[in-house]
Amino acid sequence: MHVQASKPEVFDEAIAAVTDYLTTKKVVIIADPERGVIRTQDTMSPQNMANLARDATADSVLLVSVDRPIASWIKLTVDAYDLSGSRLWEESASYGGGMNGKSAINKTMEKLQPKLDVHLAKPGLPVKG
Amino acid sequence: MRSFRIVLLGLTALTAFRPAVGQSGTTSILQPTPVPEVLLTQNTPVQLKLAQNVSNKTDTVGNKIELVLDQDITVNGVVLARKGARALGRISEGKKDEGWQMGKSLKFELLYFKAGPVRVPLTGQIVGEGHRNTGAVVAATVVLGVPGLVAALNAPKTIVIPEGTPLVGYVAEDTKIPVPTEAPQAEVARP
Repeated sequence: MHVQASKPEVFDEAIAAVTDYLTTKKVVIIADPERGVIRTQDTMSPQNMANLARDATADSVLLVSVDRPIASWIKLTVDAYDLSGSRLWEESASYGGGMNGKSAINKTMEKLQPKLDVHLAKPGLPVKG
Repeated sequence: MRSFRIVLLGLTALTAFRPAVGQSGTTSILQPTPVPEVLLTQNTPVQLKLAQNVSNKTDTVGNKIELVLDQDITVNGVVLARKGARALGRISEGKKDEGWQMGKSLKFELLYFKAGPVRVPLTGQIVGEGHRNTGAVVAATVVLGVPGLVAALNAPKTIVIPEGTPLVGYVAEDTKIPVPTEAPQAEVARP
């Protein structure tokens, strides 16, 4: 039932948590010249995402997906692609504990951060300096 | 399961122009070379294809959608934009907000395609055709009887226009486009 009760605000909070983490770690993110940060519920092929990156003179794409699966409060998946549309790596974390989903985003981020730390300053998570 | 995504674009090396050591005090005045332009006339057909799925379950009115050119745009032998160049559209009928209620119809309008730095305005509307989920109608009827059948038939149809669907738009107004540097200059002078 929590799936039916989920709100867009939950997704906004989750996305904010991921982008805050990336900012803290000084990951270089450039805005798409046409749309800024692209936010979508639609699927897009990796090749077309790579085209967007090329258009913005970026050299990699990070796809952050927020899911509300039945078995957990929230699941965050981060996929990195290069300009050929090939997946460089994928990391995900989810949290299904507790009586409600209040702390789900924080708990999920606690699991996800060490997995992302491994990729810092490597393809997919370029950092400043 | 509901899914929401953002696409972030990463840049490994930021490049910034810095004057070389010892050049900081010099000033050069460069005369800009006039760039030849080609006129792309109004109503020129533009072959496009969708670069993402579009659906009344996921797309909210006002959402931008991605398309690409499905054919080079050529005028007098000069290629102004290559197949695969980016184009954008905007949902004009779809979901009203990001909630669960799916849109009753699906329509999007074409905005522009990119020919180098120039946004070439496009005109054209694409309307999605819906289909009824027969299984859901039968299930609602079995579970709820006639009221279920009525409710299921009144429910909005799922409409999906898949990625890769070919479309045709038209150039909305005469647009001057600078000739790309790799294009042969001689072609521009051809009547």
